[in-house]
Amino acid sequence: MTSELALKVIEIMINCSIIVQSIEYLSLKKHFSEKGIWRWSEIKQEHPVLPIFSFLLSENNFIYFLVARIVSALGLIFFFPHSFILILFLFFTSLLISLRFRGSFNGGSDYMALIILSALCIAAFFKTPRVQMGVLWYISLQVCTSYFIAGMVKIKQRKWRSAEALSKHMTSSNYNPPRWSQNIFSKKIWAMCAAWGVIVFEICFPIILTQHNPSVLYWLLAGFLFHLTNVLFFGLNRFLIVWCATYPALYFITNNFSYSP
Amino acid sequence: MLYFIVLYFLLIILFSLIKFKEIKSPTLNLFKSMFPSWKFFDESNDTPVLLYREADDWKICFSPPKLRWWHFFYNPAGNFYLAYHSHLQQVLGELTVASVEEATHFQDNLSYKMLEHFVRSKSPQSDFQFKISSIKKAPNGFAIIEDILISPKLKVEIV
Repeated sequence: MTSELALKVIEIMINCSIIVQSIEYLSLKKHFSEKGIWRWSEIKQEHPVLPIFSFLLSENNFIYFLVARIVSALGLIFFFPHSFILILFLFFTSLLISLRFRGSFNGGSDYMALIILSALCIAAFFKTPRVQMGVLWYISLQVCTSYFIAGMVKIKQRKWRSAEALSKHMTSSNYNPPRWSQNIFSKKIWAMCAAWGVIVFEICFPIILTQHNPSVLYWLLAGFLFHLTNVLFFGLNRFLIVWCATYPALYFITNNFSYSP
Repeated sequence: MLYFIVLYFLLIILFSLIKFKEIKSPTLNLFKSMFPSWKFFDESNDTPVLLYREADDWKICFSPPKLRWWHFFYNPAGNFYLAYHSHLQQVLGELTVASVEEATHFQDNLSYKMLEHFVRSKSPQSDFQFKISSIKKAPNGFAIIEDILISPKLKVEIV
């Protein structure tokens, strides 16, 4: 895999994610109308900078804004790959969507999408192998950091170490995991295995940076399955595609970089 | 290069051991998507829910949607539900750091108003009330452990 191809795959995946997310927002349009929940007339009063964006983020304009994002993402996939202007547009509109929903709509997946888009912007502007390498390193380090910090936070908590936290998440009324998984994780031994499995996987994930094929593929497969179970148990579908969009960077870096002098 | 990577993750461990003072800034909060925290599922306590009632019985305002196969790719209802949860977390965070003065006038707060909008999106047919409570599953639905915030009775919107 070349750095060019890795960036191309990342670009296609993040654009697919943007298209799906924009369609999801459009299907929730009654909630960001002036009779809905996220009313722009109220939100824009929260900070003096917000009214500047009213021409983009007010009720009806926001719908055109989302359609423009879909068109731009399709343009990047089919007609203008690596177009700096279009990627920059998607970066700024992603940032504006975060502002529209008072910081973020979907937390982590919004953060990671912005990281990927900012990196792609730089790669599209400079287009040199050295910059492309730097951008792929940046994305790889960010995704490793995300897993590592998530694992660190969990291992520091007694309730996570004793699997109480995981059992609580699985059986709480806040999520709707399948009945069979609730039965499995109500048993202490399985909950313990799963909780420590998650902690060890997340904390050890940066080890991938020292690996090559085929073990890199096993790490990435484990990551994919991890996110798949997160969709199954907690409905986190946006995380699946956005995090998997970073995997070509990891694949490229680990197979094209040697630590030996 | 390997040493730099090891040093990078050691620094993360070091910084995670230090307790930093929380910065309260509306601008930073607005641009929080630029400063990812990656602290997923760090809350291991009961996550409260939004309840409302028109008559006597409290009802859960939003329940997690049942998962279908296409939700792996496209899940607007599920993401709306997650956004509702993030909002509850934000309200609780704001309540925790609110001064006595701010807490007294909490109904003027945008997060509080949005709670009301969340309930109104359920189209109540008569005057209603809402509250944030910690609950646990019970044989007949749920049992309330603790009430955190209760609204006054609110008028239904006449369309």
